[in-house]
Amino acid sequence: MTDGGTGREDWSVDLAPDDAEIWSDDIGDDAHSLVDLVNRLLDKGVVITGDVTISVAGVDLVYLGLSAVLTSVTTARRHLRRPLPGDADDR
Amino acid sequence: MLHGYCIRQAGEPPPASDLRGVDGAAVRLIEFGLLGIWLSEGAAKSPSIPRLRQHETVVRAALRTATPLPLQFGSSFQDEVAAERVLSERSDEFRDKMARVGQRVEMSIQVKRAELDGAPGSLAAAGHGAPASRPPQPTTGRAYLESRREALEREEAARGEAETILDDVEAAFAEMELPAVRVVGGAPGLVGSLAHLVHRQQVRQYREYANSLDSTRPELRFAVTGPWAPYSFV
Repeated sequence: MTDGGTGREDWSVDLAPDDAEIWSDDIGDDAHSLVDLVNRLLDKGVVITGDVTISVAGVDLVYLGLSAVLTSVTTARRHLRRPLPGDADDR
Repeated sequence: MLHGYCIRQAGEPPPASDLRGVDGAAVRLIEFGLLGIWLSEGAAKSPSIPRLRQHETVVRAALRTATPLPLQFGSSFQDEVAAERVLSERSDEFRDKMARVGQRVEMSIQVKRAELDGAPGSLAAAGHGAPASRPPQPTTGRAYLESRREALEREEAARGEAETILDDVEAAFAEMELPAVRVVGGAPGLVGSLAHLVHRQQVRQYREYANSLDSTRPELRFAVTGPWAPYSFV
């Protein structure tokens, strides 16, 4: 999306405290909005506890520790020196 | 299991009865003491773009009425008792963070190069711009080490260049005296990005400052996103 023909790319709605449009549910589906979305939700925010393993077709691809560490399962195993949830020796 | 979205002060508006979160689950409020938390049934789900969107939709719904403390995606609780325990044990921490961010929102400005620049030594060539071409593979151990050293030097130079650009961008907002967090790179094609903590009443002014960057740095492209809950400041 460009702004007024200036060539400036803009992925958010107009903003004002009393403008209902500001608080649109539209997050945007362009690449840059998604970059901001992913970077914030997976890497920032208040950390509570827990782990997430991203899996595709039953294969664990990425282990996400909620201390904001995003790494491969293999690397996580090596550094943590403990089994990850779902590992055979963890049962 | 319960999926957590954000922490609020007790007494602030609850989620709308028809608000749906991750995988369509209804969102509800649990309050304990001076704090509350927005939750839905179901947790420990793998992140996906649709689920991240669903999560963010809930956080934005909270942001409309008051600035919440957003939880990192995947924050889960065994049950409501566990959620209450977190609110109790970390009450002081959460209240301090709420006081720090106040009723401000997070705005983001991303910076990327305008030109199709793949020249050696440029940000693009070092991974901070457009995708770089693959160098020839070294054939000896010494050649490999030299290529690694050169790559590291290019990367360091590119990072320095990106930091300088972000310094200039940050200077454009100096009069607003905004707390800022920067990320160099962060995604393919990006020089970097800045997150700013902005008073709700200053968001329009923020965008005007961002617009002014176009005329001062025509070799760059800027993208503003937001308002977000203050993910980068909690």
